Amino acid sequence: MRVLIAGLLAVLATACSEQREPRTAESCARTATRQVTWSGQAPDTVTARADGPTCAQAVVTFTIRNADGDPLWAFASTHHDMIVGGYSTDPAAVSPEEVDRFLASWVDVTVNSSADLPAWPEGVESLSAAVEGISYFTELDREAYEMLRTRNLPQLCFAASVSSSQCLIMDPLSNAPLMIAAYGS
Amino acid sequence: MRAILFAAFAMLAACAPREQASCEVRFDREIAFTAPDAADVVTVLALGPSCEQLTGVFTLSDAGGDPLWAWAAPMRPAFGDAFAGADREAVRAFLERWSQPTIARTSESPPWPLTDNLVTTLDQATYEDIRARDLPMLCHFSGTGRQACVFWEPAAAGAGHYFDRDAPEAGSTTP
Repeated sequence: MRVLIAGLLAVLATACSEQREPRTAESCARTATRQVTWSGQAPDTVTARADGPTCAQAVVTFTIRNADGDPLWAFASTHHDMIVGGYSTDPAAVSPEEVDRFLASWVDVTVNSSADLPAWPEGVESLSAAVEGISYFTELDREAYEMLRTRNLPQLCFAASVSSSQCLIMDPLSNAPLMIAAYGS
Repeated sequence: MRAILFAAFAMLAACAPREQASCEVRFDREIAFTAPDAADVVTVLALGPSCEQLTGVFTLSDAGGDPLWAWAAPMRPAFGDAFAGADREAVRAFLERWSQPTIARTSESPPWPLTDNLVTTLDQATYEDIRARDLPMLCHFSGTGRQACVFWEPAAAGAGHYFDRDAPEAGSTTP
């Protein structure tokens, strides 16, 4: 019996190691996850994932899912663009630990209020023109932006590049996520 | 004996991956975007807890594996009924079609001022400069009737987001 159990444990251990290393030694497949309360009463799950032939060549994906597992938002970029910015034909080596640190910081999103966004006064051509310093952008017109901003809605902001962020709200009319504004360069 | 069996179950539980995707489908396609004879690769990946709850990732890489462009969205909100009741075969068929972007030149893009069906975050000077330089342009579906277009900047060896537009009427409105 002990031999059988020892054999079972050995098989389990082998299966476990195969599942954790499904790719070649050079590939980069990492994830980080965090729960936040944003879209409703039940916690949403924020997942950041890196995939690439090497960590320097990784594509990184950011996903928010509600408590039922339905995807609310997804965003993708390259690890290089999120950390360094711009392009590189010869990117420096990146370790799995560096990617893990980035993913952990990426899922550490900010949840605040749409009222924290800058006002877009009447008569000003664009949101960007309404704010000095940091550049703001929205695809909404002024009326819609101000209506949503002043409703003090739960807002989730995440990094969209090394120097910019995007802010999301749940549209109270459609009950679907909506990017209310982006800021940075 | 019970302790050993308990340990075995504990090991089984520990084997569970951190993100269990019960529907994950990937498709790769070689295309020539950065140069007429380039062996660039489009990779489309869909993953989620079920085939109706997928997020999709569209990636363009050069022949050396360096990523040039990446884009993602929840599939069902973006592409609608194509993912209602979808199974792996349906998802794979969709990804095969999604992996076929339109390759064109920036000189074919509309002149400034832009119409309502085309949105860019670029300012007028940058947009017109990219258009005048007649650079390679790739457009992929980003939703039903909607496309995201990127340009290739050979001087920087990188691709950038050019604009989002309604899909041309002559073509299909969905992959």
